[in-house]
Amino acid sequence: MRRKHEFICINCPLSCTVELFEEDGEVLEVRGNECAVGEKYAVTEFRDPRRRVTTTVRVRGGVLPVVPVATASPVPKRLVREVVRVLASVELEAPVEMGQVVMPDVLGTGVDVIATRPLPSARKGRG
Amino acid sequence: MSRTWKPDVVVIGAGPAGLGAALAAREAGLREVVLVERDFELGGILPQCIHDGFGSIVFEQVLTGPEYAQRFIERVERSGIEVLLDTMVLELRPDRRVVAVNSRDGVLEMEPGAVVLAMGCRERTRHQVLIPGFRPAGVICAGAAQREINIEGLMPGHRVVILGSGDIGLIMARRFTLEGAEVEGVYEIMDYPGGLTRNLVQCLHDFQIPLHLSHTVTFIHGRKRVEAVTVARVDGNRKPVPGTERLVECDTLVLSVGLIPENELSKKAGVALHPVTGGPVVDELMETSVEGIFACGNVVSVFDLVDYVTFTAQVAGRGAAEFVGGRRRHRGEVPVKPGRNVRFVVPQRLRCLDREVELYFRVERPEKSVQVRVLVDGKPVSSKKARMVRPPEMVRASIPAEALSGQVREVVVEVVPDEKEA
Amino acid sequence: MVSSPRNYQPLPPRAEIVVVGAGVIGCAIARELTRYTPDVLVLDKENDVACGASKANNAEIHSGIGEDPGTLKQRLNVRGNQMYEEFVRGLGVEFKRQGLLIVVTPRSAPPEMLKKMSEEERIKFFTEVIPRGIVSFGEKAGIRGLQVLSREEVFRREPNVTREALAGVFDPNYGMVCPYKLTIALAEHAVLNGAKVCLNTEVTGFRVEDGRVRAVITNRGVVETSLVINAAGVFADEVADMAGAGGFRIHPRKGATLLFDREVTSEYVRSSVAEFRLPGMKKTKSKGGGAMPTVEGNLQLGPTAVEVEDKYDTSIMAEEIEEIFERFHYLLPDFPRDAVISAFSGVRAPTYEEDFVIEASDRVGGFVNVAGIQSPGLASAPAIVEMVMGILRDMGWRLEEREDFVHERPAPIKFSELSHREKHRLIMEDPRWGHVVCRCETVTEMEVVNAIHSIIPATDMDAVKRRTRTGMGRCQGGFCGHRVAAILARELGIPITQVTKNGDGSPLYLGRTKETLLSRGKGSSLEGEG
Repeated sequence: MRRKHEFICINCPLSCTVELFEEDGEVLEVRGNECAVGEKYAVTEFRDPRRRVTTTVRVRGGVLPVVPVATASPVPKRLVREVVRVLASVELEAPVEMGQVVMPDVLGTGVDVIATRPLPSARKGRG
Repeated sequence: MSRTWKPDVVVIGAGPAGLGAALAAREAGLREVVLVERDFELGGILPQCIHDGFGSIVFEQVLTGPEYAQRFIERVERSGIEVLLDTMVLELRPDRRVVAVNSRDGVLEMEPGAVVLAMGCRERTRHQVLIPGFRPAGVICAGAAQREINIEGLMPGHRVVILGSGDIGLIMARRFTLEGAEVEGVYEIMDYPGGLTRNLVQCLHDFQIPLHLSHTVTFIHGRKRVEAVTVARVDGNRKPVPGTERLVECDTLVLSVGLIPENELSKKAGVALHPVTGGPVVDELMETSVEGIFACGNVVSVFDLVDYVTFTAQVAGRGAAEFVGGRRRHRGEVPVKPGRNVRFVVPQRLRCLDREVELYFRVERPEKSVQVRVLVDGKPVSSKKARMVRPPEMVRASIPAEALSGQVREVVVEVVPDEKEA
Repeated sequence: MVSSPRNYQPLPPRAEIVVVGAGVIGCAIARELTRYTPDVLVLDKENDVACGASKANNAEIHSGIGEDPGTLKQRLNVRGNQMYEEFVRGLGVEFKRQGLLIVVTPRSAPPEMLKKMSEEERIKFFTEVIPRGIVSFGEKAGIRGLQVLSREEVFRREPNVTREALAGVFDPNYGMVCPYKLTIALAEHAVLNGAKVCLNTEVTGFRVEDGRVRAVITNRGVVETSLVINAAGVFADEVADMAGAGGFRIHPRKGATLLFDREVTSEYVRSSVAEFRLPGMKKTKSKGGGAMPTVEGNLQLGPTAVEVEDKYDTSIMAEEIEEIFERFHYLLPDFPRDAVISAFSGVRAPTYEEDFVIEASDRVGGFVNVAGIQSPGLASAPAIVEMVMGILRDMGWRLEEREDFVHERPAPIKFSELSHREKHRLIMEDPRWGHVVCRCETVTEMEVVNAIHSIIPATDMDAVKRRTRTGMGRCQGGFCGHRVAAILARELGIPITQVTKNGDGSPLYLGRTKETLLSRGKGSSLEGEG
């Protein structure tokens, strides 16, 4: 069955609404895009949309109670919420290094979750 | 409060603007660079912007806010820049005298060779947009909510309505959702979204959060804590349309209704502000109307990309070094004027006229298939095509140095329909 | 250190005198009573003093010129105004007389009245008849120093006033005080002299025996007493009824005021400015309100006057904002409407007679009503106190001045007002003076700590704000909010998630991040997007 999917291209301010037609996963036609970037974008968003996930995890004994983390590279979009959820139960011990692996191979994606800033231990607390 | 300190330059604020300016000033040869920050760490707003999308121009790489900040922080830490954390500047005088205060040194008086203003911007509050209703707990600006969630690990609310579709509002819609809160919707008074398309797609569409254009919040309910808000459609004059009101139950109203350059110190120093940007009038060195006081980043005009903040910071830092070194020379005074479909341009004037200048501007209204042109005394000196320009996205243009070499009276930046397409 | 975020001063089993309501009137009466006895108890159901109209009025000390002749309001207002310097002495509260400029404009008289006049008569009417009428009206009420101003003199005083102004009257008696700081100071002064202030304590009834009041019943216990002063503001009718000492009704009428950024508006008006309307022209029951500079220098416009059903209705309606803009757009054509930093609304407590009710109950012995205190209640406060003391004297209460009365209530140190040298000295004594938590108003950590541990402790965000101005500047707490909350949590020994904006039911935070995800995550673990 031929089906239509719509994507808004995010690559330039023009924000083309790109229509992608497919049948059983086979891309038949892409239209509405003003340039080639839009087509590529729509096809990727259809076949394998990915997002870099950013959230925080809890830290014990740090200058702050949480540290920001991110997947080292984008993961499948459908896993975004689940990645955040599994990270909710993580609690690190300060100090945290920049780039420290917080969770390797998150949800079997092959992608590590890393800390995106260093977080020193609390000495006298913050001023 | 012992002796008066006389460093080469004092940079006020250590967000991306201050970090960039301090580093540039130091790299341009100034020995004593003092970076004053009121927070307990460097980075300004960046440490709380944990999402990615920073640095695609400066580093040709997409980074998160903390990662972007860290690249500068590491360099500052190795650079010999004197960093004063938890330090608040109380006074800045036209003669560049700075009075600051902190817990360790008490009252600090400084008479620097130059000052760089890098205080950033602050958020417009509910009263500045005059939302009627009660004044309960649970009404919070998007940036403040972002800090609470991402830095303090606190949840401002569980059932959230967001007013304003600026980028921070969209980013926070996603952030609240990921933390398990329910975002009922984002309401935008204009008939087009305020944020970047990327954020519309990745923050709202990805999570099926509805965006209601031409809508606003007309009443906040709840005496102690927000219990609900009334939302309504607005007409072409942004006035609520009677009969379209709807009650939305929520415990939190998040406001993303605009940013204002933070210029309280600039005013104390007598720096002339621009009526449209709300920030100092600057020249191509980012020098303000007060000699030796420079400004960069969001204190000058609220930028959409941190990369541009960094660029203006580098210009200001180098400018301060030129000034302190006695090399800064004015050859004239040429206004840079907004032309067709241009709301404002930064810098607003040129005085050195001896170098290539980057201009940053915003358009007045969305327009497709355009040419962005810079005219020097009526003659186009640079032009580029753009498929689309929109008010939320800043546009960059440049003037080649040679175009400024002769007698120049004015520079105009304009956006015109692309003739080939028309 | 306090273990609860709430203000729980232990409730004494008995007190010589109980004052119900910790607004400006209740606290002023309590302070006065402590000149004679330390055994005074003030009760209020809120988490701080000054939580009703005393925190949300336009802070003006009227002269009495706006009141109807022959009313108690007018008499007490004129007298109270004249007593103000003495009233605030020793309290450490700023009071200044900025005066009121009454502007006569073409709108000051109804068109019907002007129709039959010639041009010459009209000019004379506006520039002579009206201004002189105002002056003679005021003089009859005992208001001194009123001056008729020509159009030019109006502009010289207030250059931002509409060019349509035709004449004016200057009333030098008008003053300004910060109403909640005054209330806090009065309460603290009373406590310094032995009074107790019990907050979060709601009066639910009275024990009356043989026609005399014997005890006050509260949500926190019973206090035996033989003398009750009812200063319960909008709730004064309900409190009086509980004792069977009522007979008047309070109908709440709210008033909204807009407050402007002082960076933009300081000196915008130097005195209060109001437009004159002939009696009978007013659409509302407000005296018409005005534009005025607060003691801190913010321009303030308002208030409105809207009858409401709910005594807690402190909301601001869109219509009120429009009304203020419309009204003052005429009087001050280019006022900086973009510089609004806050809007607030308070509920007035008028009776249907629209006059103060200050009398000993003729049905219940030992019960004094001080009710119907709406504007100009703040201005009248000193005279109201005087009148209440007279009533007590007539009731046979012994008034012997204590010798140990403490005359001074030390004002909290305001860091921003100190010289550099003094600032430095304080920081060297305690580093918390060097930690600025509120950037707009330059408030330090130490000031917040001092407020939390003050005589009437500040235990929520609004209470800290009223004492220190944190969050009162143009960012309205965006920067300092969580910093102040963290200090409150630390000093009160509570988790930050228990910090409130203004007492029970107003938490700032609804938990910590991850909590929702962890509580939910145990069930379905493979939920996709959406």
